[in-house]
Amino acid sequence: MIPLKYNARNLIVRWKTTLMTASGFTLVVMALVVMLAFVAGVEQVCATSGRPENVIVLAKGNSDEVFSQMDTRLANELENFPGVGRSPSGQPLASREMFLVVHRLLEDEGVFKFLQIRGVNPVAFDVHTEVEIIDGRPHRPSQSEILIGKGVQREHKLNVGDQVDIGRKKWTVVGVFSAGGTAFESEVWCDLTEVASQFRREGIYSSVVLGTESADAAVDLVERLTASRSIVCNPKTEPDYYAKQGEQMQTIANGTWIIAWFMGIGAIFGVMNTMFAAIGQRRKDIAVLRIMGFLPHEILISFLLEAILISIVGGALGIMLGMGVNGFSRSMAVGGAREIEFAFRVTESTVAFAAGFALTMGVLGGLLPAFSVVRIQPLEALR
Amino acid sequence: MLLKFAILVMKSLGRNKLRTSLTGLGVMVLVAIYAVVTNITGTLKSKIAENDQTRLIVSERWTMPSRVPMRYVADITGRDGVADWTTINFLAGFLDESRRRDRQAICIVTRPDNLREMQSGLEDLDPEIVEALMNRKDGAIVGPGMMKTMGWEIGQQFTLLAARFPPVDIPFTIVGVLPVGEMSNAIYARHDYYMEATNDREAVNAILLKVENSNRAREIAAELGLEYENRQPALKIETESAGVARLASRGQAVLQIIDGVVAILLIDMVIILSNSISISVRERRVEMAVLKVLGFQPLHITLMIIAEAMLVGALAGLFGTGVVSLLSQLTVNGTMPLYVWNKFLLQFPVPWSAAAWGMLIGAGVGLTGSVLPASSAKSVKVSDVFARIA
Repeated sequence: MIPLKYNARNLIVRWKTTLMTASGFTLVVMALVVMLAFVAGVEQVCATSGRPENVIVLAKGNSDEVFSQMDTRLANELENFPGVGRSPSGQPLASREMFLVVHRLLEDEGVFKFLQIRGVNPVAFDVHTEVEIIDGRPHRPSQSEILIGKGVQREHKLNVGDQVDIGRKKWTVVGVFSAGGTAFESEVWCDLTEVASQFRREGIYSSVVLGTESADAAVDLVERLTASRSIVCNPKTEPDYYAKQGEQMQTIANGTWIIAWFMGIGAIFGVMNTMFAAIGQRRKDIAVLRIMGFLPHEILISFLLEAILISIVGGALGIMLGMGVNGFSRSMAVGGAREIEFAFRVTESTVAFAAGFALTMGVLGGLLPAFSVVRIQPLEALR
Repeated sequence: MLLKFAILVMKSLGRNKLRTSLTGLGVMVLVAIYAVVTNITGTLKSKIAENDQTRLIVSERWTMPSRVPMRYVADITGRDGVADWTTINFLAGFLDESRRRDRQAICIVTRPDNLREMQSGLEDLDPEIVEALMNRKDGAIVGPGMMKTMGWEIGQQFTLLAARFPPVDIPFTIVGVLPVGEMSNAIYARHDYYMEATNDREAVNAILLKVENSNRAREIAAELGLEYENRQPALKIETESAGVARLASRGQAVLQIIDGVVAILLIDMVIILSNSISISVRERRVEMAVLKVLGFQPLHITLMIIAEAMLVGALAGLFGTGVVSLLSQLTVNGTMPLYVWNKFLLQFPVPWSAAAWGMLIGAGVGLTGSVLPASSAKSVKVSDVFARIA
C-alpha cells in the first residue's frame, strides 16, 4: 500500500487548494450541524414534556389544548373515572386546566407578543410533579398573581415582583418555576377561576390531566376512556400528546437533509475539481508509482484516501464550528398554537450523522477522479 | 476587439472542459437550491412586507383563537369609508378517519360574493368558480395541490372531520380549483353553510375591512380601538401585513436559520468557483506569460480571468434557476407527483423571472470568486516563468 503520509504531504504542499476545498465541506457540514441541532432541540422539549403516569384528556375531535373545550359535566365524570390516582389527602389527581394563548401588549415597543397562560387549581402541582418553584412562592387564588416558567422569564424579561398586563388586569409575578426543560417552562400559571372569569370561559376547560399510579396504569386508563361509551373524549398519555405536537419537526428534519444533500452535491463537484487537478499535476508521480510496482487499485485507493482526508479535515472543522450553537436558546411555535422555548442541541447522533455525511461526500467526490488514475499509462505519462 | 476577447474567453474555458463542467455543475446546484430556499423565505417575507394600509384585520384583543361576536359585525362594517368587508373563520380538520398529519386540512370559511376582492392571492380566481360557489351552499374551492394529493375531481364530495367542539363532520362538494400559487393546499367554503353545519352562529375569527384610503383606515382603526377597548370582548385592529407579521414571528427561528443557510450557500459557491479558477490560473501561468509577451496588459489578463468566471457563473445560475422554475411549475400545477423533496422545497412556485436573478447571482459569484485568482494571474512575471521552463 502507498503510505498515507504521501497523501498527507501532497495535501500540505498544495495547502491553498486543500484549504479551499476543505472549507467548502466545512460550511456545508456546519450548516447541517446547526439545522440538526435545531431539530434535536425542539424534539427534545416535545419528547421530554409530560409524565408517562399522566393522561391528558381533550374534547373529542381536538388534538390541541388551544382549541379544545370541555364542560364541567365531562370534567366531573373524568375526575371520578376508575383508575384515576389519589393525592396524599385523598383528593382525585385530576387537574382541570385552561390553556390560553393571549396577546401581551409591550408598551415600550407598541407591539403584541404571545403569552401562553395555564389556569390551574392547586392539585396541578400534585399532577405535574416536574414543576418546581425555583424563585418566589406559589400564586394565591383571586389575587391576580402569576407564576412564570423559566422560558417566559428569559423571553419576556420578567422577574418576581414585576407586573404584567394580561387582558385588562395587572398581574403580579410572584414566582418562577422550572419544569425539567419541558414545554411547561414556556407558560404562565395562574388561578383557574380568575383567568376563566377574565376571559369569559367560566365552566369551560381546555383539558383535564389525570394522574395515575404508573405508566402502565396511564396506558390502561387511556384505553378504557377511549372504549368508554358514556364519556366521549380524546385521551392521550402526556408524552404521546407532546410528541404529537413535535411531529412537524419531521418535515423540517426532512427539509434539512434535502437542503444538506443539495449543498453536499455542490461540494462534491468542488472536491472532484480539486482531485482531477491534483491528478493532472501528478501524472509523472503516478507513473513512477506504477513503475515502482504499486498496483493500479493501490494508487486508486491512495487518491480516494486523499479526497477522504480533505473531507475529514473539512468535516471536523464544520462539526466544531456547528457545535458553537449548542445550548443557544430560542422560541418557536409547534403544533397548533403552542410556543416553546428550546435550546439547540448538538447530540452524539448529530455529530455522527455530520461525520458520516462528510465522509460520504469525500468518497463520492474522490471516486471518479480516483478511477481516472487507473487509466494513466506510465510510459506515456513520463514522456 | 471585444469579439476577439470573447472568443479568447470561450476558448480558455473550452480548453479544460471537465473542469469547466464540474465548476458549472457545482455552482448550478448551489444556485438552484439558493433560488428554492430564498423563494420560500421570500414568499413568506413578501406577505409580511405587503404594505397595503387600506386593509384592516379586526380580531379579539386578548386571546387566540380570536372570537369576534357576530353582533359586532354590522357596526364595524357599516362605518363610513369601509369599501368592502368579509368575515373569516378557520375550520381545521381531517380529511379521513386516520386523522394523520398528512390528512389535516384548513378550511377558510368566508363570504363567497367578494372572494376575489377580499382574499389575498385569489385575485386571479375564475369568476365562474365564484359563481359556482354562490350557487351551491355546500360548495368548496380546493387548492390544486390538495386535489392532486387526494385524487379529487370537480363535482366530487368529501367530508371534513372538523377538529372543534362539539365535533362535527361536514360534507362539501368541490365546485372549483384555486389558482396555481401559494394556496395549493387550502380549501375555501361559505360562511352561511359553516354556521348551518356547526351551529356556530355567535362569533367569527376575524373581520377583514377594505377601506377607501389609508388615512380613513387609520381613523377607523383608532375609532374602533377606542370604542371597543372596554367592551367584552375587546378588539384589536391592525393592518393585514402587521397581523401576518405577528403570526410569522412565531416561526422566526426557522426563517433565521434558513437565512443563515442562504449566506453559507453564497460563500460556498464563491469558494468552489474561486478554487477552480485558482487551479486554472496556476496551470496557465505559461499562457499568461505568453500573453504578456504578446502585449497584453495586466488589466487585460485580469479582465479575461474575471470574464471566464462570470460566464461560467452566469450560465450555471441561468440553468440552475431555469430547471428549478420548471420543476416548481410542474409541481404546483399538479403535473409532477409529490415526493418528500418537491413537497418541501417547491411548495411555492418559483417564477420564470428567477432565471434572470439566477444569472445575475451566478455572475456576481463569478466576479467575487475570481478577484483573487485574477490578481494573482496579472502579476505573473514573464522572466520567472520562462526561467523555470528553461
